[in-house]
Amino acid sequence: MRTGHHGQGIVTDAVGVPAAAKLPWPILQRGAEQMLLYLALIALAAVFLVPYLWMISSSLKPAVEIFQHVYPLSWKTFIPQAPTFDSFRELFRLVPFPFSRYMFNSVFVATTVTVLSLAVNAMAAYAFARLPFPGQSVLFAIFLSAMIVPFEVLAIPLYLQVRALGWVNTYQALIIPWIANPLGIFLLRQFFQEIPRELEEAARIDGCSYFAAFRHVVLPNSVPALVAFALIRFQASWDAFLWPLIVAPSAEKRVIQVAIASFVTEVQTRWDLTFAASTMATIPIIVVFLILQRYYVQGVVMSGLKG
Amino acid sequence: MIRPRASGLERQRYWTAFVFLLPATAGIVFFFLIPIVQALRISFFDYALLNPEQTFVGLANYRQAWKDPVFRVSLNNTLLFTVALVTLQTVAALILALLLKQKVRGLGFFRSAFFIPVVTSLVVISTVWKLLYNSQGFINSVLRTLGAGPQPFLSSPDQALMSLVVMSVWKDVGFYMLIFLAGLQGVPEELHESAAIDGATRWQSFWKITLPLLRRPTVFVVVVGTIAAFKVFTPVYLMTDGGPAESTMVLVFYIFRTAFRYFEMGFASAMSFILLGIVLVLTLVQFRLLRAAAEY
Repeated sequence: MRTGHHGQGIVTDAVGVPAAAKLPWPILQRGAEQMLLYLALIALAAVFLVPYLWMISSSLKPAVEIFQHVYPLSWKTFIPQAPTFDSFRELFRLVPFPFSRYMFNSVFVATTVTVLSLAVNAMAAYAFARLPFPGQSVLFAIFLSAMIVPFEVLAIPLYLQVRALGWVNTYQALIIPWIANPLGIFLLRQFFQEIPRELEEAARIDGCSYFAAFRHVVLPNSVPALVAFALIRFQASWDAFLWPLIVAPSAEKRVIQVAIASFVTEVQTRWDLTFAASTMATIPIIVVFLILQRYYVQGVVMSGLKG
Repeated sequence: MIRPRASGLERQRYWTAFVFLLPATAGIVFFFLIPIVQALRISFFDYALLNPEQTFVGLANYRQAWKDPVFRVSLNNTLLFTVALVTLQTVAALILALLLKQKVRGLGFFRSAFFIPVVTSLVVISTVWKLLYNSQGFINSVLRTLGAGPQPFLSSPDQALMSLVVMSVWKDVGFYMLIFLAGLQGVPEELHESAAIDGATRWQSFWKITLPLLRRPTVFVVVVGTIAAFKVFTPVYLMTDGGPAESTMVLVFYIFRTAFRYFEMGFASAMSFILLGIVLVLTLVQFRLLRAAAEY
């Protein structure tokens, strides 16, 4: 993290003497500029945070109150007058399945995808990074080509494939196609290649198998990359919408995103339930993100990868 | 060429590589290679999901796409959406990064605030924004408070697509901001200081020093943003259903509708391959530009 640089204004920092010399009282100009900067930042932060505030407060309002105090703007727009957990309670009493069922489906699918894809892709990445064999570059090129083709193009044939396997409305359909991840293999391979070879060779001389060297040397030295990859996989799986919408629309196997969408696309949208459900789908992820932010940001920057 | 027989050590290595690669390779074969070959095949057939009969029709599906006015509209809308989104989000991301690059207190707070929509699901964001854009929604309330008239947003053919653009900028700008922030770390402070001593204004030093050094992140942000924008689906599905008057009909949504509401798999596959062609061209452009930027 940064150490405090306050006390040095942006004027002298960014441009040095000449700009500051324009005014007889550089401190005043600096102060004004600082104030503008912070005003802009606070206004922007509000633009990003207010929708969340509104979502959470609406989830605590009775249905009739949601549209009541939107205009004129006042504290009542954001603070429920008589906060109630009724919509949350109702969510957990929905028929045929309570909302907790959809949450469980999402947690189960996202966790399984994350764990399996960590194992499978880390192993593949290690083989590409450290175990040269004939045909390696051809195989790697095939993996790379899979990285370029977007899922949206594959959706139809993948659906037909999964349908032919009899997997429609099953957990397999939601999990198995998403385990192998070429982008993850690519990134982890880069990371493994940067681990000093000597570490592994020392282990190998001590009689370790490749697998033991991978487990006891490579993996422990790659924790940041693995955490970043796991976070990105989890989020991608948690957020996935088009695929579960196509392949597992049944109420029993419905994931949280499809459940929320089904609230919205129903003839009579129950906005109170929708807000409560959205809040539950969002807040845990944001908390996890805030805790593991360091790894996440590193992962994003390392790769610039997305979804 | 005669390969010398693999030594014991080599054999152990090949064997390990084989075992390590087996699960990932199986995944790629079953859920990428086979489906994509199948999709190509289907795109030459008249294949409706509900009708087991498949007839070979050659390029008819592709010709149909070319002549289909809705396909043209959706291609047009996708292009419009992409150009507007990429332009706005690139500029906005750069501005946010430059603001945070000033030595601000509470940097972590602001950075997190701008980034939170990136880790929120698009379903939730589309849902909340659908209400924000509502005629009695929050945004209209702010507009009225500021003395402006209420806007129809999603219910107007003129405003719906741009409303989706604004929402998408809001969602993704934090991601691209991080890329620019990382790029700005590489711009040495001394360059600006010496430019200032030579009498450069801040504006000049931004155009002449900062921007050229940000070439690589900029190319990345533009190309990755373009490919992502081309695949827009969720907001359209949840907020507009392609309307009003097909003003938000975009490519992936039209493909989805053709395949999963009308079950015309052949026609939808052909359109998927047209989408793939566009994405491949964009990816090639990306590699070219990135290489050029690296050499710069």
